[in-house]
Amino acid sequence: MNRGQFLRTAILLPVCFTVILSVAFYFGFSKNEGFISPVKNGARLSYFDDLEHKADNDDVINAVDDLTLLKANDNIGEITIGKSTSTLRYNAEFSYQQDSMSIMPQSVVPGDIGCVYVYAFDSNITPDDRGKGALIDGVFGKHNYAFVDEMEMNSVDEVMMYSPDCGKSLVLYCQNRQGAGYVSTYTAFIYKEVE
Amino acid sequence: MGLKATRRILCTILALVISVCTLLTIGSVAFKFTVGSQPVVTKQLINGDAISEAERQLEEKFEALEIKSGIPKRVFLMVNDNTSVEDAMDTAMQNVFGEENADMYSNNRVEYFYNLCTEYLDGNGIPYTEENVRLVADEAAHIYSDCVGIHGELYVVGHITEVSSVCLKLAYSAIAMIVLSLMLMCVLFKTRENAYLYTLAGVSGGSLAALFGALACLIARVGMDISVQPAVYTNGANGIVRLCYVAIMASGVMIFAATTVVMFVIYAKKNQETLRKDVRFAKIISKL
Repeated sequence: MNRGQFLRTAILLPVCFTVILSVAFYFGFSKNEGFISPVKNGARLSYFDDLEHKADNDDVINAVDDLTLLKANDNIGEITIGKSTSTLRYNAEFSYQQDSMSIMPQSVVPGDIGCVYVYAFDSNITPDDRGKGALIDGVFGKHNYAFVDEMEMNSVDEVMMYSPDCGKSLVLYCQNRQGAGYVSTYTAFIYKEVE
Repeated sequence: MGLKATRRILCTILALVISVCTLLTIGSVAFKFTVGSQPVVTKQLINGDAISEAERQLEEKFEALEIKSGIPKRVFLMVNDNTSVEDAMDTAMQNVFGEENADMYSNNRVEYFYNLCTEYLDGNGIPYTEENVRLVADEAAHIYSDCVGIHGELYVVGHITEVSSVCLKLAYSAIAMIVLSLMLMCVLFKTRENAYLYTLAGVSGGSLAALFGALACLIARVGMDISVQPAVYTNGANGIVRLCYVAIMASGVMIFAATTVVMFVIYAKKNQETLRKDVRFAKIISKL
């Protein structure tokens, strides 16, 4: 075997194969990206609350006129029940609910005809504030509500099915706490908007 | 076309087949031991960031549960004294592969939280009703499942099983093809060295292609832009693909280095033999 023959077989041939196969490898992988990773793109593995943006969510967001433009946990202003004021968030996750009340996605925009559903922990509505008026002040403007009624409900679905007679209303509801722990029933406080 | 030229073309084709098969073998084996490997996937997904985020989530959610239920969060967090978050997440991943309860929610878990709560309430003389505390325990178990459990398990298991089985079959077939090509080459050449040289050239081409192909994929981040919810798992998921490319590259380098050395040894040996033959022939001639 002479030197030329060796160089042709041992160097030139592999180099040619390398060029062809490297390109094929790259395009083969690019076309089958789904096969490469064991986890599907967009898959959900756990249910974490968005704590990463908790500091950003402390600030009230810029004004919007539609609830669908909001993200979960967005700070949309304040809600005052009687004398107590709490942060009002859109569709707040569980860890945000400890110090905030949550305006549910089934709601209408405060001030529109329909019902605004707000969820709170029982412990965040003090006994003194029950039966008093409410005020929502935030990105949707200022809205005053007068207390109308207090009702016992068996489930969240029942709360959501309930629609007060008044045109612009607010339903504030909480799961009833009883000593240590809580029961499966809910209390709904019904309000109507006043000028 | 002469016999020599035909033989050269046949050998080039067989060397190309060997190159393709080498590339397939390297890729399949690297895939099997990275993307298709349970311990690797577990280690990459359940990394330090995911564990500390899960711990933080548990703290925050149990704090909210404390306000909702009136039972202190330290009572719920006692679950970590029994099994650390890391161990629980590892168990969840093992359960994913064992197709068992990977979300970590079970009646036993509810019962466990119920016992923690009642122990605290009894110890402090706080009155309670069983039903109320059971609701709290159930919510605590759900929180634990949300933070520590793995929920999108079906795709992971199905995919890993598929990758493992496909890669194994592909690797066996490719190795068989390499052996067959080598045998054909040995038939084509009278001297084995030429057959070995063509085979090694094929293997070397395939291994270099694996090296450069994987490098190109790594640079272009092919398959590495996966977004997983929550985001803390995204790095781990992309890390598995990165590891796969690195494994392919490392295998490519090692096989290329080995084949190159062997090729030069064969060449040197062959030349030595030719030289020895020439010397012997010269001696015979000089005696005559």
